[in-house]
Amino acid sequence: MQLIPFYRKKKEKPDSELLGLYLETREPEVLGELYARYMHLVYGVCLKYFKEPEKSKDAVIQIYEKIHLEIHRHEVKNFKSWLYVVTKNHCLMDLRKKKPGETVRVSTEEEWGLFMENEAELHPVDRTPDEMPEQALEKCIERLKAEQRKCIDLFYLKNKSYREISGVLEMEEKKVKSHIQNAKRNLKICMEEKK
Amino acid sequence: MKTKKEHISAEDFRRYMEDRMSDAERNRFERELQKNPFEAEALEGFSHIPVTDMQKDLQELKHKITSKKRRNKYSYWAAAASLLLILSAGVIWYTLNEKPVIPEVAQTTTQQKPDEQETNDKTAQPADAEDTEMLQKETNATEQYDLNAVEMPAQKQLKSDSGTKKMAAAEAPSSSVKGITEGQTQMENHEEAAESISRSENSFTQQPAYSLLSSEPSIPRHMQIMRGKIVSADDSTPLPGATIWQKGTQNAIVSNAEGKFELNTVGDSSNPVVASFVGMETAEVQTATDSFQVIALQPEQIALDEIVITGHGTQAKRELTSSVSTVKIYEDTKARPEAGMDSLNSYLEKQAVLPADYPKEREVVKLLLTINEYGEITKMLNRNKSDSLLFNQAKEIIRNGPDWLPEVKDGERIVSEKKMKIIFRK
Repeated sequence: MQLIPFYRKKKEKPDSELLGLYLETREPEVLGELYARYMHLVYGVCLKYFKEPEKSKDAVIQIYEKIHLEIHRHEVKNFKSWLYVVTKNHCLMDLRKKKPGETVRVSTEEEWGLFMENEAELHPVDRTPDEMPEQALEKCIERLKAEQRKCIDLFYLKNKSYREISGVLEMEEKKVKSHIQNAKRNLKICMEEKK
Repeated sequence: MKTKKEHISAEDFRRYMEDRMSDAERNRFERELQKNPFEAEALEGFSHIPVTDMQKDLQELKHKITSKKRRNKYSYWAAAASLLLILSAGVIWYTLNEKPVIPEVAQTTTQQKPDEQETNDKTAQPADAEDTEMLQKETNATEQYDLNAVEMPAQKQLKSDSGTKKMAAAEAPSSSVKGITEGQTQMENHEEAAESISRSENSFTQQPAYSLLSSEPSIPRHMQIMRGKIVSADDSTPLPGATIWQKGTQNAIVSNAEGKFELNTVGDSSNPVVASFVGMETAEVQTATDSFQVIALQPEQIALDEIVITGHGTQAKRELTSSVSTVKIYEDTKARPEAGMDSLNSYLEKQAVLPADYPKEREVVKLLLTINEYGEITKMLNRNKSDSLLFNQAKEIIRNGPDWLPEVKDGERIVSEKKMKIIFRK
């Protein structure tokens, strides 16, 4: 690696820089590199929706072709979250196409974008400790239901994995996940009330 | 997992799924997933395939994308090349399409010349009322005729350069008008009129194809109308909608409701008239304009092809756009004697005779027959516990009786039971 420092340097470039470079030069290879970073995620999401490896692989290629056209039509700030929206849209549109009889409202990309921005905003509990308004959060955690509180405590404060928690609390991993999800939602509501 | 990284690598996914992470690492990974729905959904997706496939699939995709990148570079060249190809193909097609016009004109003119002389002779001889009628029509339509005249020499002169073409075209109408006015003055004399017309005709050899295409009221002079009727040879009924055309020309017409037709013909016996009709054999007759022709068509004796039904996959009925009908091989019926119930009854009447010494005059034996899917009687039950002697006789009668057809339900032959009553009389 030391022998090819330039290559390595290029590799390390953050997304925003690569994106800027692409928008400037329109060099497809730059976008290709950017895409390659998240390709496994795109593939995973496609797999989630299609449940078939072959169809998902095709979708990964289609999305790759799609972003070359779409990227100029939108003002993309965060490539990763934009790619997430494009991927999800592609999969959902494809699944909807399959059912011609039904009329399903297809949300526009703007709407998706709005939704994504909200999602992207970090949940208080996901923030690193120093940016957490700790006291308020602790109070809110105390007010959670017992199971949810235990899960949050083990997962976030004692850094236990789902599997460990499921072992300790004697419940399924799925249950642990849903408890954490619900707890997070409750915490958010609680925190907003505090403000 | 480095915190400065903007995403979780495929390698991390694999390690998590292969359970190669410590619990602390797992927690960090799961926390990342909590933050990022993209990764969370991807992990959900990966749970649908074996871990070993994931690595392979990603490798394959990476390869595809890099090869795509390279291909993109050539796409401009490919686009330019294909454009050029289409363009040149278009030019070739255009030039090829243009050429045949000239030889075609040349051919028809040379072919037509002797024909014309023949028709001229013909028109000169009979010179009946029809000719004069035609003439009047034409002279009335002098304007249209001029138009013809302008175009015809133009076609003829295609070989020569365009400069002279125009001049010739300008000259032509005047001479044609001259010919026609000549004809007008000498109207009373049919022969001379015909002659003058043939003279003007010779000067601008007419094309049969042209006259067919134009639906003008003026009938070109050398054309004659053949009148006739198409009938079936079987019963002499008229055949409406039969096609009649003259070989070697584009003159064609369809017979009317009474089977009658009027066909414009070029007066030449080498071009016979052909009549055809669906289900009838095609007939060829000589062109004859002097009398009413009755053309009888023989019915065609061709066996139609057998229909072969081929299946091409299956389709859900609700997705089908065409109508669906089910063809049953067997119609649903109850079990029955092959020759019909009546013949069975008369058979039984003859056979069911009581022995002479039997105490009773009339005895009834009720049977229950079991008929299998092949129409064979497999079982016979004595329903009314009648005399075993009579029962055995009844069994014998049924066994020797007419053949049975099995019951058919939903298009399939099935086993069935049939109640029977045999009345024995003396």
